[in-house]
Amino acid sequence: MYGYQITREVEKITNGQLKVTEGALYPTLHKLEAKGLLSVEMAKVNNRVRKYYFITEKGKKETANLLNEMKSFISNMEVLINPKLA
Amino acid sequence: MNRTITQEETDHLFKVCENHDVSQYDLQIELVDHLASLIEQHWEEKPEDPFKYALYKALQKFGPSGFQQIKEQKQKELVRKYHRTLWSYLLEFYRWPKMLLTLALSFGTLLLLQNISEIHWLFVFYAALICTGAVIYDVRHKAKNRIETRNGTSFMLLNQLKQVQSSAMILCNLPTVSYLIFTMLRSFDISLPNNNLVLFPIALLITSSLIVLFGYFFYIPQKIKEHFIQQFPEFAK
Repeated sequence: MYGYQITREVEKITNGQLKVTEGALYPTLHKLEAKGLLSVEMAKVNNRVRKYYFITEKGKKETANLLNEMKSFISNMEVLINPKLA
Repeated sequence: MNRTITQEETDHLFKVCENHDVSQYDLQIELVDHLASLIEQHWEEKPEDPFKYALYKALQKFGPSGFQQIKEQKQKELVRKYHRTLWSYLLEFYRWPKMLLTLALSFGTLLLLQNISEIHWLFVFYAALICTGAVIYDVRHKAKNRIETRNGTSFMLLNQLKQVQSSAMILCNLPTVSYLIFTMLRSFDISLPNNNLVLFPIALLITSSLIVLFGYFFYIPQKIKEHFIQQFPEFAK
């Protein structure tokens, strides 16, 4: 996917609940690219060059780890909010 | 059929980037494509709107300092990328089998430290080594690692590397700084201790700084060159 497409897809998938601003999107993409979590490819589209981002194997592993961390955090929060008192 | 950006309009978008102080092609292409996509989306709803008005609306999405923020963040990420590359290269020298080379060089330096009567000769030797290395680099490797771009196009990937290398040059001043420290110690009648526990870390530090310099001037440029040719083959001469 390319930068603009990502902003549109995020908005579409979340029914407009999440909006990624341009100022936040590119620094994040560049950070993930520099870390080797994303790879890039260029293609010429309508008189201009387009930069496509792809998730790497390392990126997939990192995504799985972060999702697990988030799930664990949410379950811990649920326990804290609704403690099962003995 | 939907209205799309023409070549002339694309050229104008590149000029807009220049006006926002983004002159590096690798960042420009991304911003130009994003602005063009926003303008084309605007035209899907209002195809009669002029290009300049659609551009004005697209630029509003980035905010007044949006371009600068993106540029500064990318510069920071590139510096981090070079340092990550350098670290992975450095760690190799402290792992088997390259560790043997590091230890051999450190013990060689330790022997010099132990046997040279006047410590300043060691730093003269170090300075001579750096100068010889600089000449060899300039004559043989600089041209090999240099990336010439077509039409002199500027790339952030390459510009940031030069800045990182300039800061690495501080390491070249190590002999001068060390010499000053030792001269100062001598003026207070403090001589270099003849103790291997003190001398070996100094020898290891000298060896490590040479390895770091080698990394900055030979290893990273080679890696960046490979990366650049892979991403922008049409711009590499």
